[in-house]
Amino acid sequence: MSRHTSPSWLVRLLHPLKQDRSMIYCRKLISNSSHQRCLSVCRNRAVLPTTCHKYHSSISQTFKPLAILSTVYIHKRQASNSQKNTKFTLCNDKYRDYLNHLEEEWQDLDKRRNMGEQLGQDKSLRLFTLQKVVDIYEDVKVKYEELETLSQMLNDEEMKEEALLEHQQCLTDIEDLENNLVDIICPVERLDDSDIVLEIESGAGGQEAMLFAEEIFDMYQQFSTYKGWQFNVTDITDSDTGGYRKASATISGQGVYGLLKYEGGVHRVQRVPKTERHGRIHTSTIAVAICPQPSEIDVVLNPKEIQIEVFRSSGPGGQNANVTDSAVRIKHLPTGFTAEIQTTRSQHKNKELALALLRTRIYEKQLSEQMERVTSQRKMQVGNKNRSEKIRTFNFQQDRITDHRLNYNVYDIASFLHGGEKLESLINDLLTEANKENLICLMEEFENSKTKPEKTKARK
Amino acid sequence: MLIENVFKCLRQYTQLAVNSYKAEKYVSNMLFNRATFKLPLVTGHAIHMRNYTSQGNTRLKDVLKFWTKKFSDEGVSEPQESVNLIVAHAMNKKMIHEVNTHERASEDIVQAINKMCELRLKRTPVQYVIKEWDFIDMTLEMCPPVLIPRPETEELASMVVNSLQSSNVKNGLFLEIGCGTGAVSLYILKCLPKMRCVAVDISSVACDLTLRNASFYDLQDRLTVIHGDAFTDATLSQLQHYGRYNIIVSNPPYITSTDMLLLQPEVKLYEDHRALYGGEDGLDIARNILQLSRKLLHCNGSVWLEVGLNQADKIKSMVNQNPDLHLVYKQTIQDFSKRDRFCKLSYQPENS
Repeated sequence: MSRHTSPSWLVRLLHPLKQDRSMIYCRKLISNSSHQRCLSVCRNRAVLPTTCHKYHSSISQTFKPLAILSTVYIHKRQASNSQKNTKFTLCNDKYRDYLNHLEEEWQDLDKRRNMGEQLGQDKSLRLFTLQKVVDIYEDVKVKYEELETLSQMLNDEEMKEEALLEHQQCLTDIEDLENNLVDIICPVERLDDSDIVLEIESGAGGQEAMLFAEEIFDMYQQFSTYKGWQFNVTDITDSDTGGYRKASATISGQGVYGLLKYEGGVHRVQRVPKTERHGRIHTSTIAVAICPQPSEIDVVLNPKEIQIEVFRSSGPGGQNANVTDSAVRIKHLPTGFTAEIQTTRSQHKNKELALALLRTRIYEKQLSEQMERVTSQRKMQVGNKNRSEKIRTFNFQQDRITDHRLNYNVYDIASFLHGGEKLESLINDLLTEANKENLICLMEEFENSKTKPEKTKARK
Repeated sequence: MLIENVFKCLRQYTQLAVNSYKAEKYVSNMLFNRATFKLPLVTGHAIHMRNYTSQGNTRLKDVLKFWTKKFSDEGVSEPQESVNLIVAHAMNKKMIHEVNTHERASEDIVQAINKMCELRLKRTPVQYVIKEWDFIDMTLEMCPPVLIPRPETEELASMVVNSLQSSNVKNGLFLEIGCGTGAVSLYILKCLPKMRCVAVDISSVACDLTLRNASFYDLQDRLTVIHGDAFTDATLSQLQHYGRYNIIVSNPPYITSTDMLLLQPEVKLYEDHRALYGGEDGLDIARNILQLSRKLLHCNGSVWLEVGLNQADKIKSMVNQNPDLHLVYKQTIQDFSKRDRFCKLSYQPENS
């Protein structure tokens, strides 16, 4: 194999979008006189083109100038990504065990249903999700068997060429199916479809932070329009010189919380502020909070535990007074939480909104307590919804956005702030990452539950 | 005379001798004389106003600042809120937070704001200045001198809706005595699409306004508005023509003679006294409604009333002392400020 043909046939195997980039990597490898290594890698991995590509892109870390060339592409730096990916294939024994366990659970539930047993709501839902998982799992198993026969055919000199193509096809199919499996295997959170309250507060950096808060608020507003959600501004406290000190909105629509749940946290901006005379770069922060809105059943407020304060409530009220100030403040005595609303001209409506907000606050507290218990066990990177954690940095000088949970750069801030596809693709990657973490936790729990009974038996 | 002085006098006199006939006469003379309220707005602000309008492009923020100061100087109640609402209305929005106040406003808008603020300076209620107001989730047209719905009345309306929703009466007929803007009736009709309503008001302006508001929300088909005094035989027979009612709801005038003297100028000067003044003890109309209920209500029908402070107990004792009304006092309900504000009664004739 000559040194020129090697990259070209490799490129054929790779994803069409990423052709140019991989060609550059290979050429770089070759020009770095490590082409022997490259070739051997390519030859060895020829049967596994996708893995080969991953290998190449992870090697590329060492070639920084090239990384800048590839600004158009999302660029994964985290080497652990590829490790994680391999974890969720059937080659991983633990994962296969877990899937088998799920299949058994499904068979059990299905049998019970067929026997005419009344399954509760939770069980029925579980059966429904497991059904999908099992369907795909069966498909994957079939594909692996196919792969087995194809690899045998590869040894046969006559059939080699035909088999190679089919083999590759089979591998990509398997990868697609396995990715799908990861997406649906994680239990859907009951909250994912609930509406949210978005709160943005400027943090360190004064004026600059307020300006950035406004930009981010607008970004989510545009993102809501892009997704077809309803975005209602409930309150904006703006500063005299522009920007928002604090802004909040309710977003309602399908799957709002599900998509935005990992947006909460500290967003950081690094740029030369408009107000800066000496051209120095400032770092400012804003805090974003995403709180799911509970239904009235989730949080029941006892009328005795709340104190409603209406502004200007002194005097006889009623027909005796003309009052236009419709603001309402409600205090929840046990927790000390307050909610203040002056969104509409109707005091009654404001009261309803304030109660809803109060419920949201209390609910959030309950949730975060619950989450804390879970995350302390699980040590999740993405899933931790701590408000004070730095999650994303916008660097205007390099026109770069870094999500610290993905260690992952996106370029072109202007279009990112438009709240369109760029933001969506980042969010989707976050969700996938969170799903994987979730899955790891589920598997660990499964492992533990497997070993525990043995231990207890041993003790006896 | 400056407006502050009027209030000072008023405070002094009322504190010294509320019952004194002389003081009453003096204060009421001053209050009824609209000229006293118009006095302070004569010339002062015309000069200031030029200061900010002459620059051509005016920022809304400056307009807000100017009028807020003006209002607080002149002792207009709720200066900040008033200006905010007026400016928001001029920008075709409801609340100030929907408006970008850093924006520069066109000359027309500034003119419109100034015009409205001058009305407010004459103590016109904001609701009449912007000619609309919100009642729970409806926006209703307001028109002087029809009583502006109060936040307490929103509670009354939502309580009636809640009780109807939890009971089986979802396609009945109810009567509102003194409908004013129509807020209560329209809210109930809007929430319960099978209810029908008869609304009666003594003021023809109120009747017309109710109809206008009803057609805005497309509720006129289920609503009949009758102009007249419900306590005259002629109107009563008209009301009886529609059969017996499941519910009578009313926010009757309940202000006592003493309280009438202490009203804010906004209320006193601009709102219909027929919707405010409830006789010596403020219960004249409420009593009449209770008398009427046996002629109009179904068996087990209920009466919902909004009353003034300390009046709920009086109603209760009155009902208990007059068994021939066949009314059972069910419940006193408190408003958001935790004061007795609403009465619920039930009509239960003997052996029927």
